[in-house]
Amino acid sequence: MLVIEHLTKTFGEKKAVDDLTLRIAPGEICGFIGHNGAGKTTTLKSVVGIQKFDAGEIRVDGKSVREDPLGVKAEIAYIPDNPDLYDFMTGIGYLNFVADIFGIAPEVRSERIKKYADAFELTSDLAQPISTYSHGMKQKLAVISALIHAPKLLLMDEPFVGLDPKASHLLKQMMREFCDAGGAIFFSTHVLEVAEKLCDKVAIIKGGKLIRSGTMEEVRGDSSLESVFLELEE
Amino acid sequence: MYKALFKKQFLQLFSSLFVDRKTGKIRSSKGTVGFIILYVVLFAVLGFSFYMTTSGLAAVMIPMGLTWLYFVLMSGLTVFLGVFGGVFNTYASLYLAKDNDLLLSMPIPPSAILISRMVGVYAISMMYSSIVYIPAVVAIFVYGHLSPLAVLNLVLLWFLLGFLVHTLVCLFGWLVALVSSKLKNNKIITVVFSLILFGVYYYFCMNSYEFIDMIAMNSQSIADGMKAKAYPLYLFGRAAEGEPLPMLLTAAVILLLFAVVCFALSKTFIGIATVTSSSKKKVYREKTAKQKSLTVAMLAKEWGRFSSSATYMLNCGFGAVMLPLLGVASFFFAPHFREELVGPITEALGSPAAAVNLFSVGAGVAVMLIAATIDVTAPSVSLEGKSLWIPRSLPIPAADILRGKLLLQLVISVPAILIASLCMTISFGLPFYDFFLILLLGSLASAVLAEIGLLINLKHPDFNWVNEVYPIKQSMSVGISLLGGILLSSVVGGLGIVCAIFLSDLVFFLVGIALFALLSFLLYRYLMQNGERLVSDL
Repeated sequence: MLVIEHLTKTFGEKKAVDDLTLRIAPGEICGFIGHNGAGKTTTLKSVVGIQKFDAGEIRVDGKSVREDPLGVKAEIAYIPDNPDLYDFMTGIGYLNFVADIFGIAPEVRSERIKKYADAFELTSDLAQPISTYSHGMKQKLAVISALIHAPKLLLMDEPFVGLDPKASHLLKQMMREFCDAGGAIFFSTHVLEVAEKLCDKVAIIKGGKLIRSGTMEEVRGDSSLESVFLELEE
Repeated sequence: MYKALFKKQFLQLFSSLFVDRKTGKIRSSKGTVGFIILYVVLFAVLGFSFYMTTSGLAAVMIPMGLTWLYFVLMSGLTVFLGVFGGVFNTYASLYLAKDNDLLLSMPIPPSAILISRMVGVYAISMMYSSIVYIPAVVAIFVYGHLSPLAVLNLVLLWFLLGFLVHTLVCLFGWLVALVSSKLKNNKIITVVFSLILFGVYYYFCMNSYEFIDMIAMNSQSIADGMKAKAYPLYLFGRAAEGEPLPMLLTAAVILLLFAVVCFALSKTFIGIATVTSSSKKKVYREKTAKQKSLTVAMLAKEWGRFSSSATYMLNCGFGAVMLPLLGVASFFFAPHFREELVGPITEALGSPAAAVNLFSVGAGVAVMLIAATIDVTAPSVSLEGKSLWIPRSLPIPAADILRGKLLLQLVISVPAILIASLCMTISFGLPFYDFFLILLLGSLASAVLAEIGLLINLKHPDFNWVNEVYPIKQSMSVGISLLGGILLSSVVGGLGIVCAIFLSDLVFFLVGIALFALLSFLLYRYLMQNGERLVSDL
């Protein structure tokens, strides 16, 4: 589903991402871990097509991010670490805006909005302006808007930040269901326990270089993910 | 603490001079100097135009020994324009900054936050009032003789008038904030309040020459009346002539007023800055939405952004209110114009048709000039702010993102141009085809300016604003597109009048329409062909 080959991105003198190669198959949840400034967000933004990269290739479902950025964007959904949404819109206004962009038929979008908004207990707040939402509510709205067009690949930057325990549990459940239905997820997180329980695959990045990747069993072996991560970071 | 707060405030205020707001990097010294020169030239042009307008008054009054009256009148103008320039920023600058929560969470007394923001407002007040005050003082130097004490007083009065303007704008900003915090439709209140001020301002501007003539002809009687009925104003004027006691009294009154307003603001600051809307929660009722096309969805999004901000609507869309007003007003002034001007024009140019030609061109130029003040696209890219990730991560072709912004300006300007064109065609008794020509010229001019504003903002966006006032009022894209639009329209208008006199109004309209159509086409093509690169470079 996602193929990243020799991705390199430099900011001035600093290599934010250095020759990173990674593959994620349909049905897989891949956790992306690393310390602050390791290159996680740069990698995610490069996949989404909102960050130009210097070298390498990124393909989503066979489509190149460089050659067919709109085609890629139609297949993916992205949730940034701090979802600054359109504060001037209402929640439902924002969801309809996203659905309009993806050309989702009114009946289909209504059904999906109801399903996800009910699950996240956001339905009663949908008529409120986003400016009145808490961080967690914005995060929930961003998740719903990401799922509204049934993407093939979900890219999420720290998706659990700001979510209450119930919503967090629900999101994990949805992520699993999403991948069981054939989708793929690539998400960054600092919560290693979540990554350990949820992910099929894990990629560890340090100083822009991918220092370890593989299935969860391959990466952690007999240890915990935390101890492997800390060991690699030293 | 105050030093840090003031430093932050000035960095926010003047950062565009030293920091490239697109990349966040420090500008080169050449870039900074270039920007400073640009601002100085802009202020010099405005100051010179004020000097040309008001120096006639100085030439009459100062030799009559009425320097004090001239100074009082110019100070009145300084305060009026200073307040007009600053009042729309003040509410947002004092109470709506994005760093409210951050600063209030720190061990900083709310009064210190307020004072630091007031210093920023004072700087703006000084900038606006200096545009009038400095030329007025130059005229005193040109037409009169000043003692060293008078020079000192004039310098002190410069700062004191800045304080007076500052006191008044803070007072207005505070009143708007108080009303807004109590009422649900606070944006409408702000817009209505602002429109009243605009109305007063434009009434004054449109009649300024008549006022100046009237004052110049009746200087002595006005001076006598002021001495008899408004003695404090006489004393204020005497301060400018170097009198020490009036100077002290003036300083005391202005500083006392400032202290009272500061006290009132500091007592209510935290309550207003942290107010949350008490409006009743609107319950969501499920209904099937209509599906919109990509272009309509983007246009609706842009409209939502525009209509959600009183600052945006007032500063960038005010021309859309002025155009219908101009149209309606033309029914009152057109008969007067026809009565007064048809005869002399016919006599001068030897043909009654020349008067109709000039009225047609005049109507077209007036519509074009006011349409040039609509600059909705100029801050539209910057206003995406931190939400820029949304259009960039969704499968929206850059052309559609840009088209949505361009369309918004046309949706706002074209109906207003249509009303103004229709009214003026009827009120001036112009041939009916003139309606289409004026409409087409105004609409195409608006399209060109929309494209110019958008292009400049794409090249020079500012995504790091703390308060939306900065991209809307103080950004380079807005300054250039507004000034450029007015200059372009003025040049085309000037050529139009020449055309109307020596050729015909039809030649002017056809050439003007062809010129704007060509410019609009070229700019549109450039934006559409390079949109992907321009958006991805943001």
